Amino acid sequence: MEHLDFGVSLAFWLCILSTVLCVVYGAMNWNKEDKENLRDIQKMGKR
Amino acid sequence: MGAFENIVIIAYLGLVGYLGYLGYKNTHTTQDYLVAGRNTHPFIMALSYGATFISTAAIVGFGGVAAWLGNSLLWLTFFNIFVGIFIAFVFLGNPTRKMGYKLGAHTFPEFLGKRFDSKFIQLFAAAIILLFMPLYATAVLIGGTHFIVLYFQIDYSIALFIFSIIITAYVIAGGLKGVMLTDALQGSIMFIAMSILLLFTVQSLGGIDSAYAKLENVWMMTVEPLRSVAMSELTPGSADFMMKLSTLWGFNGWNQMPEFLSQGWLFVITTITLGVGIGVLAQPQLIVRFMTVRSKKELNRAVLIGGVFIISMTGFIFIVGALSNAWFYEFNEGKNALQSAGRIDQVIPYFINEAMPGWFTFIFLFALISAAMSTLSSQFHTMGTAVGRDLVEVLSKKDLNSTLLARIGVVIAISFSVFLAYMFDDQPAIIARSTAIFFALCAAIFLPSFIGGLFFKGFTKAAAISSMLVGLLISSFWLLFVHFQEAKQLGVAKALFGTDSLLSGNIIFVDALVIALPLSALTAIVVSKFSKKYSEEHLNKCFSK
Repeated sequence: MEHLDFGVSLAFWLCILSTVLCVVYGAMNWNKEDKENLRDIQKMGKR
Repeated sequence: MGAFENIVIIAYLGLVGYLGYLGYKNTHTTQDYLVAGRNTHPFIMALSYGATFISTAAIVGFGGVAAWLGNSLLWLTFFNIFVGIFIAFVFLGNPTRKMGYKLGAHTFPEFLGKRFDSKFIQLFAAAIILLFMPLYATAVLIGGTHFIVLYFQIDYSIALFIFSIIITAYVIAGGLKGVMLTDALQGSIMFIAMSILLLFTVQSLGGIDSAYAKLENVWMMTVEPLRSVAMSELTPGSADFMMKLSTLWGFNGWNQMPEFLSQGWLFVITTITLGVGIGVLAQPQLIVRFMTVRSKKELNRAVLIGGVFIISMTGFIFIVGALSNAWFYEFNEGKNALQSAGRIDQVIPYFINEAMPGWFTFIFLFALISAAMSTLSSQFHTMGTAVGRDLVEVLSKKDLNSTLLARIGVVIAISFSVFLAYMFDDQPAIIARSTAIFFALCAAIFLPSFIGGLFFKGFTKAAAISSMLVGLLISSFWLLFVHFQEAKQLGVAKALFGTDSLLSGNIIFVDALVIALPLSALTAIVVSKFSKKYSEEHLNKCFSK
């Protein structure tokens, strides 16, 4: 990556880091529910 | 065409037909047709969001721009992932899902209308969608049809007819369920094609470091000599003219950012990065997807899938677009990408034809057609629901069959877009620029009210209406009379005042969104301070836990 200047290099690594952030966030919260959801789903079932 | 191509086409059409049928079979209620029953699988939701966002213009158009202007476009990829996926899904997704459910909203205009308890806002949002989205859809339709014509060597009208009939069938029958299922298939094809494309390109140039080193050399050999050539000596629009123009705009290499605040910097950062990167947050056809999942868990899972999908789309194609300069130089008699392909929008198709094996050319064609179909089907569904649910139902004030009305709306939207695509197959300026125009308008008009409505109880109806009107007025003014691309191509400033832009200097390179969005947001804040607040009852309906 030494051929990229600072601005482009920064964009390149931010792309990688933001993808990693998405992957880590998604994996860590894979089964995390919102407190409201159970009630929401029950309501949906009643409709 | 050989047996391989025939088998792939039949398999693809068979799968699209089957998924459309699945959507139809599982569509029983209005909620099923408009918001996919609010129980979509996260994999389907994420791929549908991504595939809807990424059209052929993002792949071929922006890939070509990356070949022209280089790796500075990676800032857009960063925004696409961080803002378009992470911020959108993590911070906006769940509040939109919950509020949409509480209010019983099935479309984006209905969501805004019910949040602000205003029929006017619902009608206004639907009108904006119906006024500008057909142009955006027409641009995608023309682009997709041209690839079919190019590969299969058939008449444009026949290709347009077949292409639109296929999309019409599964959008009308399967509603949003059919749209999202087919989007997921098409997104998967796009993901595979882009991954292969990046691997082949980098491998053929000896690895990523070697490829970037070669890119520096190609700039020195093919673009630097143009600095001593006068613009008047070059044919306007030619490859060398465009490369010379990039140097005048402040570009000094494909591996470098343009000079700070130069015309090129303003173009890359405001028009490309902020215009598209922030504009995505206010796209009605994308926002409605947050209302299609059952819980926050699905949104969390979709973040992972969406992040990986988006980097493989815009990230990969921007890298390939820039590196195509090194490939052409090495394998095409020392020419850069633009010199080889002739035009910006020809770089990626030409590169695929020249650099990739024959079987991949066919797969890539499917990726492009998939990109067009996934964007179009969502646009048609959004326009159809805007006609049926948001205009006819609101204006008639009767309890009508929403699904039937939306289906009729889809037919009207498709017919109108196909008519435009038939009339203007060479894409006049207004259609060619319609993607950028639609993104800028949506952000300036909808974003403050959408975000304000989600998070601020003190955000009033008057604030929402005035912010939308200011957003519309300022962005329209900027697009018609100032911005160097739209103002020149639309020609209104020239017709009225005899000049392409009412302003001069670098400011005409600043995107409409950068001017209109802050003013629209400021209007909302100021008007909220001095206008009538909502009752507790209404706020409880929107925000109650």
